[in-house]
Amino acid sequence: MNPKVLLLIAFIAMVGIQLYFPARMIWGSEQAIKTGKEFKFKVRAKDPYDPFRGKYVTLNFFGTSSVFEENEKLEKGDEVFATFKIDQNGYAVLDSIYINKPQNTDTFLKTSINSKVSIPNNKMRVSIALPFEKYFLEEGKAYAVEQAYNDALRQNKKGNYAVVYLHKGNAVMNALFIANRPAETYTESDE
Amino acid sequence: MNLLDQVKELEKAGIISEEKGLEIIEFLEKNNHSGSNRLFVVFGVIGASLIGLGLILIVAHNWDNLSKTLKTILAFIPLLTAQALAAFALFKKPESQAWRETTATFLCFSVACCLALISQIYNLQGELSSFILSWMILSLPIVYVLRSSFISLIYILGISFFLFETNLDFYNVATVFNFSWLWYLAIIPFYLWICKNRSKSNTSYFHHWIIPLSISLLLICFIREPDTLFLLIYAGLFGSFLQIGQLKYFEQFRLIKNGYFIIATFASIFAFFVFSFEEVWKEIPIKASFDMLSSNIPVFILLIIANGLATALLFYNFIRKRNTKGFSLFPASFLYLIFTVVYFIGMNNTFLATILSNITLFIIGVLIIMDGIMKDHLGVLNIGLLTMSILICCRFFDLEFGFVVKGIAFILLGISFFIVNFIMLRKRKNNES
Repeated sequence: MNPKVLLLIAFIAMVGIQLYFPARMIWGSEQAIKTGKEFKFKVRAKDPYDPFRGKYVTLNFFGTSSVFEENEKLEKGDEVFATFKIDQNGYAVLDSIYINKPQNTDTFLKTSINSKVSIPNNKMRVSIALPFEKYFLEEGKAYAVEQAYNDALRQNKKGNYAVVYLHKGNAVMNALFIANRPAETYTESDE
Repeated sequence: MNLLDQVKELEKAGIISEEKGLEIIEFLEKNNHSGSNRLFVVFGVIGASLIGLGLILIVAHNWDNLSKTLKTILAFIPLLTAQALAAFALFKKPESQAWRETTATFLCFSVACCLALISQIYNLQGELSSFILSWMILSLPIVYVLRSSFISLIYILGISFFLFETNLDFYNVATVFNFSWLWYLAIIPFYLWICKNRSKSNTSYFHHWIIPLSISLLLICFIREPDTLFLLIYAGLFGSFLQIGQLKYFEQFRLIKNGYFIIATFASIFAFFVFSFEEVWKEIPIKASFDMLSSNIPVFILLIIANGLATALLFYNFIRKRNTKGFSLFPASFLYLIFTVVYFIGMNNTFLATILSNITLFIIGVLIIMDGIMKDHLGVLNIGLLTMSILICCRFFDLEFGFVVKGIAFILLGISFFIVNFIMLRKRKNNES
């Protein structure tokens, strides 16, 4: 084959891969929001900096641990599939964990075990890692959000949660609310 | 007076003919052009890098006021622009390396920019290491399609970071042996290509440094406490590097461009310096590590590969060089074998191992000095002198001598440095005249 034709094919393949990757990321995210189930995860917030991807708040979540029957095969760091239920306040809490993909539902999260502690009566307390810890915001707003969260905590205001869509193991965080207000609406003047 | 004027002077004086003068002028103009072309490549790459970094900084600002769709479209613009420029460079300016390197750099950073923007717009999570891996995988085709040496260097650094970050776990042995290491091997065919086709370019010299450095660092991922067998694996690795540095291919370069040779020499000698102190031999649990060997098959395999490769290359260089005039293998070539022997002696007798380490260093220092004198190589000579100096310094801190004795010894050492270098330079001047 003509070297120029080969080069053209190689170039087209390179361009194709470089466009496909980000496009797939977008499609996966949009699919999860369209077909996945919405959960509200109650949050705590902090404010560091990622030099590659911008300003964000780091989120820690409640409801990520639960007590189960002891399973000696499970260790910290093992990959598991987690399902969630809604508590009386409307927030998501860990319901079950599976070693294999659950067959009876598409609303599960692929994650790993953060910690496992054996407790009496042949039980174990397991905590899972949530793969959505960062919420990207404009500079200045991230700090304002952190301050707003600290104020909400001091004044015992409710409504601090992240809206996450779960679908076939993937999780997409779509919104963050502090004191029932979207994080994007906080500005430096709110500090 | 510049070279062109000098050529005209020589023509006028009748020393060279007009025809010869024209040939010389043509040659000089061609070299100047390739020199300025090289400069353009460098500035082009710097300019493209700055633009790329600037784009990434813009990413960090966030664009809350725009809709998601518009943000997504804007995220793809740098990438599409870079791809269009790369196509122009590839098909309209195929002979220009400056165009290739510049557009390749711009494309590489545009890929990073696009990935980062999409992650940010859609709040897609992930560790820095997985972001770097995605970026590097998408940059790998740029290396081969645009034949960009600079992006090859970026790839090696990026993949090394990813491998180090994901495999450095002192507790979980099994996970280190995985297929992610194949990503590092993916750049080797291009490295071999630039060794053959761009052997005299600066980027190939950088590769000769970065590859041995990155491999040396990545080997740390395989170390597990209290394993000291890695000392032997490193000995084999540096033995291999030293032999690679003595292959015929590297004889055409100056020593400073031979990263394999310099890294291996300094690392091997440094290791012996560390083990010239008995306290070090007493601290390391050699026997315990050796007892672990039978249950640590991967380490055993690495040991065989590293030392086997070093021995095979040593043998190859010996066979190749033995019939050449002035044959000599670099004295440090055998250090990895000597270290292995001393290591096993150290299992039962730390004092003897210390003595042998010191004797080895002394002999190696003397042999390197002699090698430098024989080859008329100041760099090698000074490596030998440095080895002897550091050995004496170490022993002077170790052993109990008075300040006066130490002071005299240091002065004599400094004087000998000057004398030997002076003799070498004088000898060189005499040879030239």
